[in-house]
Amino acid sequence: MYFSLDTNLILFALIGGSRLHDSIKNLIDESLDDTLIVSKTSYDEIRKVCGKKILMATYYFWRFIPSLAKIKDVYSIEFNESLLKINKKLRSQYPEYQDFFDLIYKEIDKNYKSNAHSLRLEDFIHELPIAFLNDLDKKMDKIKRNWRKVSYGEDYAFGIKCYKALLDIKFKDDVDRLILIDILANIKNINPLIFYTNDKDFGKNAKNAKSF
Amino acid sequence: MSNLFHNEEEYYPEINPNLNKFLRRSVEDIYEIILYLYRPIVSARNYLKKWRKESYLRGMENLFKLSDREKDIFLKTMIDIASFKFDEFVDIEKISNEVEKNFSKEKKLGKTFEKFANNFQRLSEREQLIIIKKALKESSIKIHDMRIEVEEESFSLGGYDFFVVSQLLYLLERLIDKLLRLDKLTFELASLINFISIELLRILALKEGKLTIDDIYYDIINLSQYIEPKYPVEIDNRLIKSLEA
Repeated sequence: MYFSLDTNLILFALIGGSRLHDSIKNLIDESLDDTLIVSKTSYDEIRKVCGKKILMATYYFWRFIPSLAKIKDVYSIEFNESLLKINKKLRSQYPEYQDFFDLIYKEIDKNYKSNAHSLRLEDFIHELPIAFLNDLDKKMDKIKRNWRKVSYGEDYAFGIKCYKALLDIKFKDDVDRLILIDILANIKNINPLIFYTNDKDFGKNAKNAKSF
Repeated sequence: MSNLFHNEEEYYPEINPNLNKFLRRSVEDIYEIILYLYRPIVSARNYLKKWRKESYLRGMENLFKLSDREKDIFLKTMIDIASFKFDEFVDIEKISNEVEKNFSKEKKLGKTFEKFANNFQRLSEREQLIIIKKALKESSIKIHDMRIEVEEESFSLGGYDFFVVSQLLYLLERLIDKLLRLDKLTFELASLINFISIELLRILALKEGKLTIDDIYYDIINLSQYIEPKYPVEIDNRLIKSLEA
């Protein structure tokens, strides 16, 4: 059997200690043998939420690169002091990004220093959002080992049919519409499927779409 | 009507004017990269000479005879095709086909472009792969140079826009590195090459006011999933929790 979760329910599952975390975790744990189906649109939305913060934090740090890159010896006291000073300054200026600045600090200390002879600091910083987003897949593996992403792009011809069939249904936004198209376009291969949502409107629209 | 190559002072107000200036300087480079990626044969004169197939490039000199205005019309049509929003229903295959069709439709060079496409198909699979890799390497050099320029601008002029564009260009370089490691022609190779071309057109779409820096931000998020990080990081629960805010 298959089951799917709306975007915010996946976020609750990912974020330990969040409002519905325990309930969603229980739901997932009870569906031991079932496969969790994640709409690609939902997944991209989650990556967007998570990516925005790391990208902003990286940008705030980015502006200090010229002053750091000037110091050739990355193991020198001068480099360490500058790095600490930047971290302190950023933490006080943008407190909502503190954890992200700490991550950048830690990664430079751990991974950049040993590679500094062959790597530009700019390139290392560009790697951080990639690595951060990549780790999300591993987090998904932790909440459910057997999960699968589905996209309307896997069968465009059928995807277009689903898209047209849903044109008359009024969705809150286009993202909701695309989530449903992702699922419907793949329904032949993921049937029977239960879709969980805490959004009444979405649930109503999904029921209407079922008749199609 | 604005021209991608001229009208120095004309820019869309929502775009950082400094970024706009950079984009104007980059049009020529992006035009060349698009040519390399869609008609890889144009980057491989030396190989074709070695294989005694230089005649496959007959008409090549015409490519550089296109006036700025003609290049402008050629690129603008493709920019329109590539300027979709993240929450739109997008058929990437259809978009790639439409961009491809635009080559044959070009008034002056349509036939030359078609001939190059046919000549490329006449090559063996091994030769095609060699040529595609050459085109990718040439493209990567140009993208890298563009990125270094954007980075310098970002340090001297500041601005989130510059940083976002440099991040996207970095991802395109990394994607090309990945493709250069493939040892046969695959569907993945073809579709990711299309992806790279479309992304470059989307950067130009910023200049045309057809997309915003937020659209490019979304592209970064999307593109990152095709790239293995060089240095894995682990997101601890504290970080995950801060996402809730």
